[in-house]
Amino acid sequence: MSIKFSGNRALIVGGTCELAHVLAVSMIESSLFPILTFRNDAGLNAIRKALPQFEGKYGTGYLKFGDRGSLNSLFTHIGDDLDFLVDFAQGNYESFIAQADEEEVYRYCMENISFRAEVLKTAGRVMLKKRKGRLVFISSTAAVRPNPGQGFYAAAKLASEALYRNMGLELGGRGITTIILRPGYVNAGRGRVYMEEQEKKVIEAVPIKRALTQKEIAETVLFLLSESASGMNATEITVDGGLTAGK
Amino acid sequence: MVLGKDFSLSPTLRSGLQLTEMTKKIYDSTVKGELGGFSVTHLLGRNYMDSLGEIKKIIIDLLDLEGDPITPDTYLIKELGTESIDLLELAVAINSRFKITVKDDQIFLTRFRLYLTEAEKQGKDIAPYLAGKYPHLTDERIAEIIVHISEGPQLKIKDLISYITYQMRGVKDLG
Repeated sequence: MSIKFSGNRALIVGGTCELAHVLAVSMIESSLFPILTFRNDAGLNAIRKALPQFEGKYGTGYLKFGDRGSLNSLFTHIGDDLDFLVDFAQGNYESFIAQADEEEVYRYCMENISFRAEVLKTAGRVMLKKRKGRLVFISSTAAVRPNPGQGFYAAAKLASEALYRNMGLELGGRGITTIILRPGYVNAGRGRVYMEEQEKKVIEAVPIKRALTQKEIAETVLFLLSESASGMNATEITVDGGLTAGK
Repeated sequence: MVLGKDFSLSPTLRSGLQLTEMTKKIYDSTVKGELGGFSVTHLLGRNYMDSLGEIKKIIIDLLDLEGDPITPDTYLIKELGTESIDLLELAVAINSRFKITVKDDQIFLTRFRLYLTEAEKQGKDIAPYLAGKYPHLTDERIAEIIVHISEGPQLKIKDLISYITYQMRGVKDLG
């Protein structure tokens, strides 16, 4: 099966995480043009460091969740030329619900839910001009199986999933579709730190007896962006090696 | 305030409808196309007719209309059967064509009834309250919408043009 894409330019929101870098490489290798967002100089440097051999084959753009000006200027830069969006952006706030700082809760929800709705609105309106677009939200199995302390993370993920789901419901008839991916344990970023500490527990919990690799997740995302997956709309896919299927 | 079929104007609403002699005269003359011997086209100006032409093109394309006459007084929802998703596309097309910021709720008068009730509940003068919410509409147009609101969605093509004109030039038009 050869994977075909209906479009070329892909915005990777939250483009500074390792998974985003691996995805960007897979995209470039598939002749797509990824645009990775960063929120500070360290993020921009991380992108450049991860993709040294691909200069000119990808773009970058400043986007800080909660900062409307950064969103406007990013889309001024992108113009009307956007075919795909992959959203990795996610702030973290670990706290028991009964212990959470009120101000922090409001800020967290504003940045991770309300602002995401603005990102979706902006991207959706650009895509509506062409009546074509595909958006993938990277959620997590923690959205449905959180540990104690992950309540706000799970709330933000589930709320964001709902936004993406509805977008696919509302604009599917206009050629704009959405899909949500829920990875389980992945050997990257926050997951790697956790797994280094809890390796035995992770292996025991996952039916395939291993964590997923970044490459596996990147290739799954690429497939979800392809024409072959265009019938999958406004729903979620779990890629967790079977983690959440059993007790 | 209950906006039933046979609702009558409350005193607050009536006061809001009192138009100044000058604006009323201009409004009447504009509609009749008789002000100072100029035709409606002259009075409203080239930009107005250009905007009307563009809007017509966009709507015909979006709604796949064939041969339906569209005038400034055509009701967008009541007559053309425009649905929510069409309005969203229309907003995007207007933003793209005229390079203006489009606030969907404002251009499509989505919350008009809500504001009406809000003003009534808060004991505010209705007409000025709505004028504050819809600065692109003339007092006369707001009054007209209030009077006919129980007859269904009042959004007309000319309201879109008013919005575009206001956003582009910061002035109200008399369309």
